[in-house]
Amino acid sequence: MIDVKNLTVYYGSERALDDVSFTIEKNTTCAIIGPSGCGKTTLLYCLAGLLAPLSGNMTVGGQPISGIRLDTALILQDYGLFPWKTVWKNISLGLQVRGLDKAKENQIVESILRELGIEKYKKKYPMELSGGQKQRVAIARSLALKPDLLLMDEPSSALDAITKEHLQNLIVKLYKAHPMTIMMVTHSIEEAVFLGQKIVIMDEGKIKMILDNPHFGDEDLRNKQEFYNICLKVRQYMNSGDQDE
Amino acid sequence: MNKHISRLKLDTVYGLLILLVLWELLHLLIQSTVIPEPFMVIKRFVNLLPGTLMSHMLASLVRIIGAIGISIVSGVALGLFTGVNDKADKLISPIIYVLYPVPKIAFLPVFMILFGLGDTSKILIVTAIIVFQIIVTTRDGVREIPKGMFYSARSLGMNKLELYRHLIIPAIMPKIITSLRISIGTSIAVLFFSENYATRYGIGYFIMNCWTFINYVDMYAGILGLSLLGYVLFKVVDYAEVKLCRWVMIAKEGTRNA
Repeated sequence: MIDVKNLTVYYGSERALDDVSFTIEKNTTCAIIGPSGCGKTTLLYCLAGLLAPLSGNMTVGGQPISGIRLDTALILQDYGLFPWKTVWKNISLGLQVRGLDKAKENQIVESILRELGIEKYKKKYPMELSGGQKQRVAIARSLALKPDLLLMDEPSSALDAITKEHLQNLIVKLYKAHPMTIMMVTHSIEEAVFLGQKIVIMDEGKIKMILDNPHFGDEDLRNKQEFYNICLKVRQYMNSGDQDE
Repeated sequence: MNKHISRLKLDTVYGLLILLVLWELLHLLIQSTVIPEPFMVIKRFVNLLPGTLMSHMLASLVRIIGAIGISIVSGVALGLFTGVNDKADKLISPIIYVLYPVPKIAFLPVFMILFGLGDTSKILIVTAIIVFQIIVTTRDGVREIPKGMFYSARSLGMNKLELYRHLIIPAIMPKIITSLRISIGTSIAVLFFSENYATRYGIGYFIMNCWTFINYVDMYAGILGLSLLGYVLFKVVDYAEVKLCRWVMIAKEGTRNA
């Protein structure tokens, strides 16, 4: 689904991504983890078509990325909801832009509101919602577009511990109900292990290690020893460079 | 929404009461014809309104609406253009900054010679004064929109026109409303001055004319008319804010309750 080869990106004279290559199969999930400034968000924005790389090739679904792709949905760290639009209007916005007729639009919004359990907020404005509710609206807005690729930037970084787990469970549940390729950026090891079938560890613009995580999809994973074993493994890989210095 | 409007009404009654009490006190304290009794003025105002004052007020209203209309359309357009386009900003903003502090009102004679003695010169002098603030407010408003909002809008697949419609215009609307409020105050003051020249219509003319005849009660009735005009315009803007920036009203409510 995603094929990235020798991707290099500069911000002015600063190298944000340095010869990054990886592949992600269709309908799998991938978590990119690394410290702040490691280039993980840059990578996500490149895949979203918002940033153009200096060199390298990126294809999504076999097509090279040139600008915005209509079947890719992006959820930003601060959710990217428009404060002047109600929950309903925020969710229907992408459909409206795609020129769907009103009846179809209403039907999709109605069903997605129900699926995410946010029907009662449909007339509210984003500022009247909690962080977790806003994140649900942002997810609803993306899912309404029926994307085959969902990109998420730090999906739970602004949420408290309990809401964070609820949200992660929700993402797993939605993934099972609507198979799609999901790629997310996170700085939380637990989140990466819970949500990523593939875990990409990044540092200083490069990929350090790619791990396969066979335990993905088990909603009870947090209560099992394997979960902590993988977390530990990821932690060790993340720290491995530091010991050399 | 009704909650917002009824609150506005209550605030108004309170403001008017305080004003009347202060006015009455001043009248009693100073004991001069230059501050007439408020109720006498109100009675005179009611008598003068249908025949005389109304036509003066309408003449002024047309000029104010004309000036504000031209300023909003051209100011917002130029502000958007400089806000989204860095090159345009580099070319245009220095000119705006040099012209902004120049006291344009001093050029009233020039405006009258160039644009005639009628309404055009009066509308244009008001426009020349208020348009700058609208340009600058709009431009800064566009620049303050977080970059993430643009990413969000673009990733939804919006084209340029949709970006303006769903993101840029709604984001700067509260700023436009604020600059409209300031513009109303300024335009009334400027119009009052410019109506002292080469016209027999307009509430500014009426007031100064009464003053020349030392008719203070009529003069105050005129001032009341002018204030009423400003007040109605302010209320129109308040209403527009409730309608167009509901999200801002809710945010304000939130901080008030918090």
